[in-house]
Amino acid sequence: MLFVCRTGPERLSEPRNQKYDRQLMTPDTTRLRDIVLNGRPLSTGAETLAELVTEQGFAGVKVATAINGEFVAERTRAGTGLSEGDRIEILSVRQGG
Amino acid sequence: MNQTQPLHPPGPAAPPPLTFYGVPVASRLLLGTALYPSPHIMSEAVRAARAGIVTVSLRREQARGRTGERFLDLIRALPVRLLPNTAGCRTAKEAITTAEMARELLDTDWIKLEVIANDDTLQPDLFGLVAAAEELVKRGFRVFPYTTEDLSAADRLVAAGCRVLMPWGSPIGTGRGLANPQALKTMRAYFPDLPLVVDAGIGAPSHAAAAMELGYDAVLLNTAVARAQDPVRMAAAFAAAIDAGRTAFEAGLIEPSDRAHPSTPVAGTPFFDLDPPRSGPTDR
Repeated sequence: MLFVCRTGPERLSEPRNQKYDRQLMTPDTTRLRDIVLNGRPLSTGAETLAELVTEQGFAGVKVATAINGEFVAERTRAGTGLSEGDRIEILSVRQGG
Repeated sequence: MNQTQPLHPPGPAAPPPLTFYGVPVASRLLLGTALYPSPHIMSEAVRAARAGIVTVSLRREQARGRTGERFLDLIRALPVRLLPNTAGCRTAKEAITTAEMARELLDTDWIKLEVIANDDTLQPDLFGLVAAAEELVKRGFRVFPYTTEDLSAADRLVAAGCRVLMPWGSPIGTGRGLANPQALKTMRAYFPDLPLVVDAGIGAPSHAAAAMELGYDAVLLNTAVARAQDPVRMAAAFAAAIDAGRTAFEAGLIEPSDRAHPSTPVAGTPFFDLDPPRSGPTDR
């Protein structure tokens, strides 16, 4: 899994353009993607849907996922890559009528 | 005394139990889980209603959130089967994706299919509903479509493979009861053997009893219980009304009549031979 890691004095001065800043400090292999998660814009270093689910704190949590309106089963998340502009839903069970 | 001798003579054969997709259903009240003052009151209301099936939804989870898991723990502690819905979906595609997500999360192929036409009436989009039902049945779902009394849509849903239909009483959350009882009666007569559930618009126990007296197999409601001043007592009231309505239907209701008929025997009526005549106004 590839996550953006920022350490040292860079972290103290919040850059105006976080995305640009992160790109400068991440290895060449990591590329941040602008996606939309549950209706909100997000820059993520996650390469796959499984990585995004973990990055968002849902490892081992009962959630269901969809990309661009299509269901993605849990077993296929690791093999499902993320693309720029993907619209992703991470849902769980709620009260309903 | 002969041990095999029954104490009472056998009565008329009991009607077959209600089943949804082959699953016997003990309770004729399906209850929604939304809008309650607290999770505890919701749980108590489900118990008081003696509901066997409750509806749930799928919603976005916050990052690092556990809201869904906590709710699921609460609901799994109740003696109920879960019926996930596709509430809020506006297209067949949205509903199909939501159904797939619900099946994975809840490990059930049951889905209450809602495809909503507009915000004001929340009435079903019958075209999207039929399209979604056709696809979901192909994908192995057991579909509970939220529909209207429209018989052409109902025929399409049955042809698609739906083995239960859930026509509305009136629009969701209005509490107006059975807006079109004649159409519901016609639908019952048109599908004598198909499980039919009145879903939505029920506001009072008398509305639920009326649906059961029409011969509907069950009632699905939420707001009328959840928004009552005392949801737990209201749940009990609905359970009693649904029992009463069902028992009345099985007992066979009389047909309404335009003319009065004396219930007390006419033969032997005293003063029968005295003036004044028995019709028209009388002078004292």
